[in-house]
Order: sequence, then structure tokens, then C-alpha cells
Amino acid sequence: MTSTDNESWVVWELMGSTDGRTRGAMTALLGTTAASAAYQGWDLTLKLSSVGSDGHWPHVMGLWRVPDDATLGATLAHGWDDGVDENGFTWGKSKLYKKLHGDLRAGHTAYLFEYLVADTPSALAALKTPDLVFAETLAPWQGVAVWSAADLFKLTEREWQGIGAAGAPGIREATGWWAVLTPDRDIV
Amino acid sequence: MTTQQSVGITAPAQLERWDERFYCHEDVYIRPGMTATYLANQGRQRSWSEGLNNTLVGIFGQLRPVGNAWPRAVNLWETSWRRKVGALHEQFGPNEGPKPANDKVLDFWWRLSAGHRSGGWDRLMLPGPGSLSLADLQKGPPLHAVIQQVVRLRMGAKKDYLAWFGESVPRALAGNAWRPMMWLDPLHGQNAIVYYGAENWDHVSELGRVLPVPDAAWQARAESCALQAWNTSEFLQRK
Repeated sequence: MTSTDNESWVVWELMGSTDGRTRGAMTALLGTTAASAAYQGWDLTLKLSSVGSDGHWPHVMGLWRVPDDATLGATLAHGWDDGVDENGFTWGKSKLYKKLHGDLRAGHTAYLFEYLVADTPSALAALKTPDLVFAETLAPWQGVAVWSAADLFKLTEREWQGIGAAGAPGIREATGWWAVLTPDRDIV
Repeated sequence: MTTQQSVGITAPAQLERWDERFYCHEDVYIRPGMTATYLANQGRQRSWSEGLNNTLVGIFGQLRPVGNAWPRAVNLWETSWRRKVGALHEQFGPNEGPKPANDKVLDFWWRLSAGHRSGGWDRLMLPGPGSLSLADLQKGPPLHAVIQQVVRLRMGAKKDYLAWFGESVPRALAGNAWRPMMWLDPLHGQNAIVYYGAENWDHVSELGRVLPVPDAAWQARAESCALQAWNTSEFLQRK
């Protein structure tokens, strides 16, 4: 995974329900979206199912890489009529990022995903222990930290060793949860 | 009974306040696939008694790539204390109060829109220092692409934040494709709601590069949203 100044990263969260909008179904919707005309050029790099997310379940996340502003602008220019089936989730949210440092680890399936609020953009940028750190494009003192492992057992061992940005200098808020690569079978 | 008489205000300086600018933000939870239908059904003015109409500065649909709680729409009304309080009194006041002549119009709109949205949240707001008015916005280029930020601040920091915004953000965006539109002060809360606009979506990252960062002491926490202005928005109209 290479990074350029022009690329953006977008985190989606989809909130589901127990009457059919399962993690599996919402993950399938992410895949359909990735193939649609409005999202041409967007690369769906991670499809995650959350374990213990803050505020809602069922819950899935998509991490998108957008190569440049022109691709982002073209998607925004589609307006709200972007082909996404809004019956496939109860509500969604998204945040726009620039990568500060790090990379996704090949072969990893389990993640700690944290939303951060720092005192300053430089405090966020100084955070070096996560595997991957993003800063919000429009509020660069806020960001995301990603920590990963091969599976949940290995992630647990990382937890015991100490991961998470809470307590790091200049980090004012850190709210995170575990997530796994959504398996191909439907999961609730 | 006039609104002024109802609270016994007589001082001339206070009477003038009734005509100061006043805003209402309406955040609307849209039902699946209903964004365009809802927006098309929303009028530019609501039908209250003569002299009490509020003006729909902008009506917006949330875009999926950046933002919270989609599907979502936003209505931004510009009014005065006199008009807003008068309209609220007609809608929510005691039964013996003045009845609007057009209840049936509102009732019809409300029933029609019930299938388009499921609820939402509103804030009554004052303009921050230097925040542009609808008339100001109509003098510039039509800004179809809008970024909204709802900025939660430490208790007591909002006044300083809005003063800083009015001083530093217009200067930082001078000559940029993005322009500061409004910076608003909701009553009785720690949030500020601010808007930036551009003619199109070509330069979103550029906005992030040039925006100044608020003072860390204010403990700002921003929710950023990309909003597409609906074509009937009053701020897009040119006489």
C-alpha cells in the first residue's frame, strides 16, 4: 500500500438491525457499492465487522482508499443519488481522512480501531505506536488509529502487551473497539 | 397581544433586539431513498400569518462520502426574533393565542412529509460576529457544495471560538475556492455550527489544507458533513 499527498481515506460505518440488516448483508452492500458507477476508483481495502462498537450493533465498517481529489469530487458530484440501497442499513456515517503514517498488515484479520481527538494536529502526528494513523481532512487534530493482528487470539495478546492511544501525550479522547474481517458466510 | 407586550419589554434598546437576525437549524432524519422527495416538498417559506414567515436560506441533502447520520437533510432558516417567536407562538402557543390562517396548509405539508422523514433535531441560533447573512450570500457566486461542521466546545469557549472564526477563517480562505458562509451560535449549548461553500466539489482536500486549527484550549470536537444544496435554496437565487 503506497500513499500519496493526493489520496484520501474514508471510513464508513453502517448500523444494521436484527430484522435482516445483518453484518453479512451490510458487508455485501459494501461490496455492491464498490462496484457501482458513483464509486468508480474507490478501493474498498477493508470490510470489517465490529465487536463491541460504541453505540450500535449490528455494525460494519468499510475502509476506502480514494486515489485523488478528482475521484472524490466525482463521487460527491453524484449527489445523494449514488446507487446505495438505503434500505440495507438503518443509518450510516463517514469520515474523510489523510494518512499520517503506517500501513495495513497483510494477512491480518483482527483489528483495534480507535477514533481519536488530540489537542493539536502535531500531537496526533506524534502518535507512532499504532500500525496506521489517519488525520481528518477537515479537522486534522482528530483521527483514527488502527492496530491489527493475525486473529483475535493474537490481538488479545497485543491487548495484554498494551495497545490503544488512551494516555498518550496530547490525546484528549480515544474511543475504540475490536473488529474482524467479515467472513464470507453471513453473520448477524 | 404582541410578543413584546407579552414579556413586558419597553426599553427602546431592547425593542430593537426583536428585529435582530435569528436562525433555526433543522437536522432531519430521512427515510431510505427519500432525500430528493423530501427536499422537493420543502418550501422556501413556511406559511405563517403575514409578517411571520421565516426564510429558508438553504436546504441540503447529506452526501455519503463525508458525514454523520445519513440519509439526512438540513434546513437552515433565517429570521428575526420577532418572526421566529411569533411563528412558534402560532404553532405551539396556548389555544387562546392567535391562530394561523393557514393551518390546513401546514397540516397538509406535515402529513405529506411524514413518509419522507422520521424525526430530527433543531437548534435556535444567533449569528456569530461577522457571520454572513442571506443577502450577503446572494451577492457572491452560487455555492452548491457546502461543508457543515458541528463543533462541540469546552464550556465557556464558544464565544471565543466564534470571534476567532470570524477573524481568522475569512482571512485564511481569501482567494480560495471555498468561502466561509455562516458561523452560528446555538442558544444554550456548547456547540457552534459553521458552514463553508464552494461552487463545486473539486477541491475538498484544499479546504482542509488552508483551514486554521482552533486553539487547543477550546477542546473543539468537529463533526464534518458534505451537504449538497437543493436548487430552490434561497441563497442560490439571484434577482
